[in-house]
Amino acid sequence: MNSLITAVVDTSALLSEAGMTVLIGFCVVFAALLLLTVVFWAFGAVARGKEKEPTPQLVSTPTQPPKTAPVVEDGISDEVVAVIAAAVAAMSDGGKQYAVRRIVSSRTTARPVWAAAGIAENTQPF
Amino acid sequence: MNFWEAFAQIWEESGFARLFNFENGGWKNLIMIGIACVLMFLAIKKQYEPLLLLPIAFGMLLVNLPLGGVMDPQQNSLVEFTDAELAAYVDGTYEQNYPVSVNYVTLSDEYEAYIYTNENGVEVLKLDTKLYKVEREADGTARAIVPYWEHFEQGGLLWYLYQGVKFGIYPPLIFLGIGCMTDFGPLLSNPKSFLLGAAAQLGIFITFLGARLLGLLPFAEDFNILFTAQEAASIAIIGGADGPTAIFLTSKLAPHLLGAIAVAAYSYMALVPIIQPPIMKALTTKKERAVVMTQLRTVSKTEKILFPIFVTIICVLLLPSAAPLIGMLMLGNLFRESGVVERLTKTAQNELMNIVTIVLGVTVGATANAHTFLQPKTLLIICLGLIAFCMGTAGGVLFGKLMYVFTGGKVNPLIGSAGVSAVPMAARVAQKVGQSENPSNFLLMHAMGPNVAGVIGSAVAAGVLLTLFG
Repeated sequence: MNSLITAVVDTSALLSEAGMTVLIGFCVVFAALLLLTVVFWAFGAVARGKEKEPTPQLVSTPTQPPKTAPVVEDGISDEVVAVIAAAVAAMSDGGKQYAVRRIVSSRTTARPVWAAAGIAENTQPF
Repeated sequence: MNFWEAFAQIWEESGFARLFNFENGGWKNLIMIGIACVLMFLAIKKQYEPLLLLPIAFGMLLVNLPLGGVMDPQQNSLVEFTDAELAAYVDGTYEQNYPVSVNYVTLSDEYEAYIYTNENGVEVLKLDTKLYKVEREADGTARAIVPYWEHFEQGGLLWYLYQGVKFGIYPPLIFLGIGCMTDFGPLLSNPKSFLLGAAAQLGIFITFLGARLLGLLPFAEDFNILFTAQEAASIAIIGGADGPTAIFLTSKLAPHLLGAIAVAAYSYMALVPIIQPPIMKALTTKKERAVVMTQLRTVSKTEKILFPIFVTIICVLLLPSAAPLIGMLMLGNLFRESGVVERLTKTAQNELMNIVTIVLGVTVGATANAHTFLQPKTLLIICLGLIAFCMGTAGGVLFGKLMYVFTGGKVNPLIGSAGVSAVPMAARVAQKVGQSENPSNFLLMHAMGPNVAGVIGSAVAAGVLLTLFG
């Protein structure tokens, strides 16, 4: 009977010691790396803030109206055309003039085939 | 002595005679030599982590060749004088061939009966056949001078080199080189990767639990598979998939298991492309594996320079016992990112790293002698190491799934598997498995984030275990 009680006590002591180690260990590792996540996320946020260009002044500059209307692919809404035209107009702010001649939808893949092939070749050694 | 007698004597004194003396355990050495040859085959032919597996295997071979003595410890002992030497010492005619040290033994009054003055006027204590010179203190108390000669026997070459492992010097030096070679940019551009590196340490702690609970088996004692907390922690760190960390922790907590743990750790690191993909596929859906992640932002030089400094401050303040590993890793990285100590960077990542790799590998291999390696525990260590690796991979992938859900499908869970360290192999495996689902998907740089976070994570986990059981 006594040996049985000792065995039960030993088992529970072992279980609690091992369980506590797992809990404490995993929590400390997680806490340490969570702290690093927060610190470097904040770093990133600051860095991104610095990198941001100052917002362009909304000063009306005389621009030449396009000589011809752009060719717009079927299915592209007027709002999208307006956004693209606005983006191009913003780029023209430095003095150089750009014209929108054609608006077509891009391919579904994220990268052109040649770009993908180039990356594949470069990452192959790894 | 005739020719055959001389030949027989040479044979008897050779290592061959010991090796084929099966009654005296020579067969164990033969098995170890076989294991060393298999490991050398894997390193050379299959190129399984050859940089470390090859020196480890050769160290194992060297130490198991009988009478080689490459791992014999240095002997420092005091040897008592013989009766003749004692007499010569009392007479002052002793020829000192070795350094002599003396002990003074205060004599009680009952010894006065055994003290006499010899013909040279020197007081001598005679006990049986031994003679000792006697001196008197100011109060007249007698004390015998007991001389010893200092016996010194030089240790084996690898024993001296092993001191660098024993005192935890080599693994942090390896970390210095790793720091110089590692670009933490992918981690900095996506700091969430730190959490994947933490989740992949699950394997370490689950394995610790498993190793300890083995002791509850009714036959554990009979088969000698009881692991102490220190041994269990050393085995569990295999799940960190980081060789230097495993060696560092084991050398501190359970040095007698160093050979088995190092072999298991490096073998599994080499087997990452075989072990991980089935787990990754089993835990993820086709849709999850095909997730294309957005391009990482460019990280500024300032961020890269501040990274090692802040990681060192945070980690070392949190876990001082992780200071040697984290400190050296980050010092190396600071060398790299600062760009002002190019010579040091080159030396740390090339010459120093290579030299330390050689001595670390050979000496760790040399700890695997037949007596300590051929135990039921070794087989269990290899099994538990595999479990640790699998659980670590699963932990990373499952946390990746969690991130997939919380980010609305922007994170590919496969990159979580790279959190087990094993740089850059684990990241490459994530890239390969991801690309098999979507050929235009490039996860390599995304996986490098958790991969290098895993190095920090396993060093932190080692620090926790060292704090708890060191």
